[in-house]
Amino acid sequence: MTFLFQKRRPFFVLLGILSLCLITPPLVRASSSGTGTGDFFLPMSDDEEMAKDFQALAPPFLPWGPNTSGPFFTGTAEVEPIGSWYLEPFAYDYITPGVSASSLYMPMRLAVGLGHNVELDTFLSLIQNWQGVDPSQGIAHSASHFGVGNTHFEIKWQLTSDDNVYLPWARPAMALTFDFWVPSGQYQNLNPQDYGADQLGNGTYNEGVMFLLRKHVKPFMVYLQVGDIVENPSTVGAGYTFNNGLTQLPWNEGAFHMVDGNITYYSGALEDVLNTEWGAGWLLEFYGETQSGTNLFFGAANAPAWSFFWLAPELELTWPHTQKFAATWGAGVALPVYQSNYPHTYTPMGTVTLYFNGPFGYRGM
Amino acid sequence: MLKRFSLIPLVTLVLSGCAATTEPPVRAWLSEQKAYAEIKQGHLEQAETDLKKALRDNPTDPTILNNMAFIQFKEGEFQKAIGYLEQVRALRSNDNDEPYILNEARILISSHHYRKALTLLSLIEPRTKWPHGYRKMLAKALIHNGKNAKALAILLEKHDEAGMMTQPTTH
Repeated sequence: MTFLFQKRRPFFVLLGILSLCLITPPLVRASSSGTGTGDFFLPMSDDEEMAKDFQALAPPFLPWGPNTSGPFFTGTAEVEPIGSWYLEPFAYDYITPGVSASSLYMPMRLAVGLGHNVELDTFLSLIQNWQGVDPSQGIAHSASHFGVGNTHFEIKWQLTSDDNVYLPWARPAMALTFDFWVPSGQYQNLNPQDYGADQLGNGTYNEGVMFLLRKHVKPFMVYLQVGDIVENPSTVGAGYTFNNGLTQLPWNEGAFHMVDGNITYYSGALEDVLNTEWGAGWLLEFYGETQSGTNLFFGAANAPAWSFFWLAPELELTWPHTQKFAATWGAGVALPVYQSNYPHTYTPMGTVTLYFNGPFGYRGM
Repeated sequence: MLKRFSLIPLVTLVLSGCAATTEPPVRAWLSEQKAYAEIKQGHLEQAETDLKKALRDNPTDPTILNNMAFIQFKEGEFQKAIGYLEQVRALRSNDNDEPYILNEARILISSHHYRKALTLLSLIEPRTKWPHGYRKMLAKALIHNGKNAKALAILLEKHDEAGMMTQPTTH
């Protein structure tokens, strides 16, 4: 009826005017029974029909999803909205007292929301290695080296959003990531005088697929990540240290066609946000990797198999926090719990994330 | 002894989680969500029980009050329904009161209180933008009050009208 009225409005208005002129006053007045519009001729619904427009209102969304630093090894399932991006420099200092070595690994992450539930992440890394012992002879020697490490690209595709941030069994946010690594870090022509400190990458192109999950249950957030990484074969040479950080090719070794095993990556975290406004809280994160003796695409591996499992307590804070810009700060230490053919490594970590929020805010808000 | 101490952080963790979901606004929102689903399924009695629970935790939430009014209206309790909507209007002084004014006017018109409906609808008339459906309702109220010429003028008058009646924000 409304549609008809809008389409032929001049016609109905004319009819209304005519009826006003022609109909006598008692007929114009609404009837005392009050149903309908009486005898007055206008294209209108009756009183009861009008009452049907009274509808219950859906409860407005009660959001909870503070912008926090989050875990160090586990990704966040939500993507940055289109128009928003962030820059996140990390610092992981992998300290291995057993071999008197440390590697300060500093990836710089740039995450850009592309819309359509997709985010593009780029990790460019800088590395400062320090070696206190010649690993081939076990004699104390000091060497250090600084340079660019491998480059990592990630496409994140968010599949679902958290249905209810207060209920534990509501559907969580889930995402898939597709990861690619480029061996931009030095791994060949290593200098024996550097005792391996000048090796800044493992020399392989890698591909990975990860599954991410995040569930809010105020004041907690639960994160999970599991994935598989395939490392393509590569030719390495004298003095090369395999990706377990322990096994090294002799300095008289020629070219070696290396096939790494399949890597299973798993991590998760429990985050307790103590203060929503300041994004202040603590986390307990677990993280592990296992490299098997077989490569998913390239058959039997000739690189050593290894595995480790770490636990990491972490702290976080958000400051400053405005609608358009926020900085989140995080610090923690990863402690070795279990390792096989992998060094005992203690890893102090720190990060700051600089969020530049567009009109749709930050991820998971 | 050691076991007992190891339980303390776990219990603290569980309790702090429970504390968050028992915060009154959160508790109210959860009850409100449940009630809305029940209204959609036609279970008005259950919905009323849940909305009453929600109101105890958040007595000033306009959506809860509006939905209470809806249930009372469906049950034929027009006065109670009007009472809830008047509470909302008392809490909202800006343009966000429009959906509730229209709902109250709908009840008043359907219960033949045309003069009150007109008085109520007149509150919106001076505003620059009229909500969707307002023009028709005002014209109807005017006709029922014998102001036919003005009803025609309202229908002919050019006035900005919101495309769709949007849900007001409450938080």
